[in-house]
Amino acid sequence: MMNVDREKFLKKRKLVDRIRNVLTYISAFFGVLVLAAILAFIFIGGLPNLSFKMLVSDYKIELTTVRIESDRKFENPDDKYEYFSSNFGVAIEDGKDNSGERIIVIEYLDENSPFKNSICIDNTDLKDSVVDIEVGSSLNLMMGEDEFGVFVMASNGDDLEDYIEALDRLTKIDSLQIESQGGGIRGSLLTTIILIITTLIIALPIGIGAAIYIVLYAKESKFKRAIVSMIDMTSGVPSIIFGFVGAIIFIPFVTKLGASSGYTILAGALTMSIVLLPVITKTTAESLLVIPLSYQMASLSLGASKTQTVFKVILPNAFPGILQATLLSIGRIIGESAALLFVMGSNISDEVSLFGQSTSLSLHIWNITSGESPNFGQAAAISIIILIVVFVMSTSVKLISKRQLKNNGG
Amino acid sequence: MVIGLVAASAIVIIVLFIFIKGISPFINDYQGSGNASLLKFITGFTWTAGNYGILGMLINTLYLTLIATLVSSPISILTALFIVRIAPKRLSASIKSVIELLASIPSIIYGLFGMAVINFVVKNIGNLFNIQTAGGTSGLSTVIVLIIMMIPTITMISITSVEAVRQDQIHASLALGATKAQTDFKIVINGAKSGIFAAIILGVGRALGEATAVSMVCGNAITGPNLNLFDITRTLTSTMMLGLHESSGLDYDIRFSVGVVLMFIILLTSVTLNAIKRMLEKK
Repeated sequence: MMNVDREKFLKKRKLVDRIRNVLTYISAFFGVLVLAAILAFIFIGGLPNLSFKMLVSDYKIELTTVRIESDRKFENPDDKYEYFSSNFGVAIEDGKDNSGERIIVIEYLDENSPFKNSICIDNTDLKDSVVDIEVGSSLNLMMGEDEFGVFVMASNGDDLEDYIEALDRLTKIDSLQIESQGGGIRGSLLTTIILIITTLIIALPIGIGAAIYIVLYAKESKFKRAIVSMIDMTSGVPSIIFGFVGAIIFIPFVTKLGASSGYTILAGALTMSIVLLPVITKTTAESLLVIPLSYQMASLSLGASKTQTVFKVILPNAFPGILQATLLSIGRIIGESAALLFVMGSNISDEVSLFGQSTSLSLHIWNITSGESPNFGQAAAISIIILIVVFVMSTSVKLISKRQLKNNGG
Repeated sequence: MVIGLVAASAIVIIVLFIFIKGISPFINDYQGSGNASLLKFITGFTWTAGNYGILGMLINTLYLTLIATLVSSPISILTALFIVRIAPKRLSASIKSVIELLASIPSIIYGLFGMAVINFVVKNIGNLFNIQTAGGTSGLSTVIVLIIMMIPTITMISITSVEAVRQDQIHASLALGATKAQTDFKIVINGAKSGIFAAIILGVGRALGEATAVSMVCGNAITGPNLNLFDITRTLTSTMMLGLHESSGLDYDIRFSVGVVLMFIILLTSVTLNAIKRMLEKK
């Protein structure tokens, strides 16, 4: 009787234990699943849209309207182009612009093609000058008359076949829109780099200075404890609050310095400095704490002043910590969006300057996804860049601290 | 010394400036639109230009955060337990790296993932039960995004506190005849209780203050509170982020008042949770 009960109890206990263990497996697996899903979405959606061309081209589409006349016929070289216009010596093909939308681009251009003598008819400085049309230029709305004076029109919404047919009927194109490729992220990429450099220039000296003060100069007192706990508190503030601070303090400040618009990269850098100060101070302070006291003593007893000791002995030894702080900061800056939205705005711009308005990569994503038809493909492509930078930064930080631990242990 | 002061006083300056800016919509007269009414602000359920009521979205924020916390906490605690106590060494290290990577992903990418994938899933779940959703943007998507974002935060800190449980306690439990799983679930979790609670407090703080990802998936309901998870909703942070067009005037400045409320709520929540934590520790 006793034995049966005991067996039952053991069986039940085994079952409960197994359920418990399985639960932890499921929980841990959930995290793996989420990461896999995010990576799969970003890479599958983004890789087809990620190209070197996207990185270096402008966001805004530049439109030039030209007129072209043809007075001769051209040969399709070896008949190798499917959509070739013998009137103009041009072959066209389907293309994709940087944000993934279909466009019509020039595949081949004959050496003597009248396209090379197209005259700009826009009311700009370029009016009546020859426009440079090359292989790869994209064509849109085209209007003109055929040899009998019948009006002919085509646009990039048409099939290649219809477009080339229209082109071959025309002898004189009255107006043809040539588009530069838009949808690039050159401006945002450049902005992000400038933002990172400026922020580090502002935040690193202050953060390192604060760490040196706290670790080496400040005496144990209520005052020091208050400073340390305030720095801790700052790191718990949500980033959107920092955006507010930037909007209240730094936008008026930068405007006073002479910026024309309220939103500037400089205001963004100042705001990010405040966000990052606690991180930099804490990381540097930790690395200062592990420097053996004997180094300091040795330097001081050799007759060096305290300042000399700090700059020549302590700072070089704190280098790994400072490097970690820098890498952490870079990862944080490239991913930050809420704080920057209030100080840099979300209008994508191709003209980048420290005192001008433009967007970082994260804000670029915010911009292209907040409209009526969000462009997930390109957003995922930009996310690949952000993710790679963030992962590389956090992995290097981990590697550095592992090496530090080894060095100290050995 | 001066630099130390500057770094430390940042928090004081932040609070002071936002507070001053935050109360100005109720005091200053804005040309054309007058000033906002403080009473309406605190008790109103509708948020439109000229009619600013915050109570509805305040309830939304707390409601969504509560659900997200209830779901993410057990998952995080079990994950931490798995990493520290249960998994084989190799597996444990790789799961820990996965959690670390998740923690480093910026919120704009979580938001993008939420918009493109989670919204789609929620829309289909809605269709399954014959519920119409606004293309998936809903309270449910917001909760899911928050859960995903809270898990790494809570797990990382729980790991530290689970690791810190004294070995002799564990040995004592095993020596008394408890199985390994019983020890893990009763002794280890109990021993790490206060650290785990601190982790949850931090996670809640992150969820309350999360702005970008939430505003990308929550829709932007005019009235609240919205307790139906398949409906669009609005939180304090999404109100601050969305529809940001002008940079002056009453419609812009009132955001700072919302910011003051947000900071107050975060502070209040963390004080309350800390008090509960202390009560639990005394027992």
